[in-house]
Amino acid sequence: MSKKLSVTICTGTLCYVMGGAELQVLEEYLSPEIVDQIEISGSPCLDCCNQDGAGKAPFVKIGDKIISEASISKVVDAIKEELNVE
Amino acid sequence: MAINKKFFVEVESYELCEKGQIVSGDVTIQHRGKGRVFVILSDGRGSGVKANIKASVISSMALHYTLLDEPVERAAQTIIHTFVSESAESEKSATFTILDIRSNGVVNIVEFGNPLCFVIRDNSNLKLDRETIEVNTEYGPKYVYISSFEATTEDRIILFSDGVEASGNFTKRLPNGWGRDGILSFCREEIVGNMTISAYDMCRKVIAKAELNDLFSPKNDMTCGVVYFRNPRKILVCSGAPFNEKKDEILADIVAQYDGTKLICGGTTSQIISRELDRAITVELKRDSAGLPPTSMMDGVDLITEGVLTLSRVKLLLERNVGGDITQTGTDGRVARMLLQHDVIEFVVGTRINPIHQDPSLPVELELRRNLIKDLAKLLEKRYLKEVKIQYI
Ligand code: FES
Repeated sequence: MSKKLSVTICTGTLCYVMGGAELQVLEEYLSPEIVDQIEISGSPCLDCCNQDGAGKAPFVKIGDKIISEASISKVVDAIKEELNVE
Repeated sequence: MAINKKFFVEVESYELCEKGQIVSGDVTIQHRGKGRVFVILSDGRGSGVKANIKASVISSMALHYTLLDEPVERAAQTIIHTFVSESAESEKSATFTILDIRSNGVVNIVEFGNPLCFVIRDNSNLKLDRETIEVNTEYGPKYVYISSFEATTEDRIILFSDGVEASGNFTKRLPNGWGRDGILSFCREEIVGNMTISAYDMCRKVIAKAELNDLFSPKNDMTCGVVYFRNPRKILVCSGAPFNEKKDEILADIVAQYDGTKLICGGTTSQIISRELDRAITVELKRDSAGLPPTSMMDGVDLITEGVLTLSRVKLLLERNVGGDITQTGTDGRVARMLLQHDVIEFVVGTRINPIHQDPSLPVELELRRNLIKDLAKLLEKRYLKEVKIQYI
């Protein structure tokens, strides 16, 4: 694996109260093979919460893609899609 | 409240009751106002509730006479007339020490019946010229000592009740008690070990040692008060994005230039500072025991937290805390402790409002940052006697 896929979870106020708090345990929902291929980090604010049209909080950034209204299952699916795994 | 730009006057005291008692007969009070700091230590003699009430009355009398700038003699006379009885130990049936610390650093000391205090400068005992005043009472003359000196940064005043001085009495190791010299050399050793030991730590250490001298069952109430003239400890708290984006740079500059502890409370705020100063932020994705969003780190900044949720919890903690130490391990406890460890707290509040925060459909109510910080500042100033500044940006 050359470069890991970056997964950035927003931990800002808005994302946090809108359900982002749960996303911190994301890693527990992923298989070790997937965990190996990604790099999870946090961001104090992804700067989406004050932009119109970015969708609704909470936000997670996968690669260059912003996922809005992120939930664990939505993020897991998006990661799998990016990595092309089942 | 810093009473002088030169230094901050930290006052702390700690006490232990005689074994078997639930309240102490020693009372220490501290009062700040009109640019002055007053510290009173009174020993009601004996232990328990009665002694405690007596000492409380004496200290409050002493404080009010001093506040009214009444001559010391009068204050002393009234207190002595009211409380000193003819018993053999009459000198000791009501005691007090009054420190009146002025904004120019002049300290006036009045002592009656308590062990004489120490002033430690450059780690040696500063000799005070004590003048003796004779107070005539129906039980014969009583003697009050008055003295004064000009404090400089790093001076310390150590006050203690006779229970501390006598601690260890009749034990094998200290048959004659700890004594003045013992206490003095203990304090000096502590200062050698830590040049900037706070008044808070110092009074606790003295009492812990005295308790040990009495083999952990204090034979008398023991109290130690410490006054420490030190450089003020400053903390900068930045929260909120500047109203105008052009000010982002100014905000970052304030953070970069500040000499003191730096705390940032706010996601967007920290992003702005990170971008302007070109310093990366790492979020510590850990679960917080208080259920608050995680903290982050940046070079040159002591702590970064989320904004309004965290600050409103900090406010709650400080509101509910009554005199004890804050022991909570969550981010709220951490921030509260950080604030309390400083003397001067400078808030820089960004006034840009994130409209989405005001969306009524949010699952929790987000307080307006400005009001929140105003309340927090008031609390820190009034209850915790901090010097607080707020700057809006
Ligand atoms: S709080 Fe998540 S994008 Fe701003």
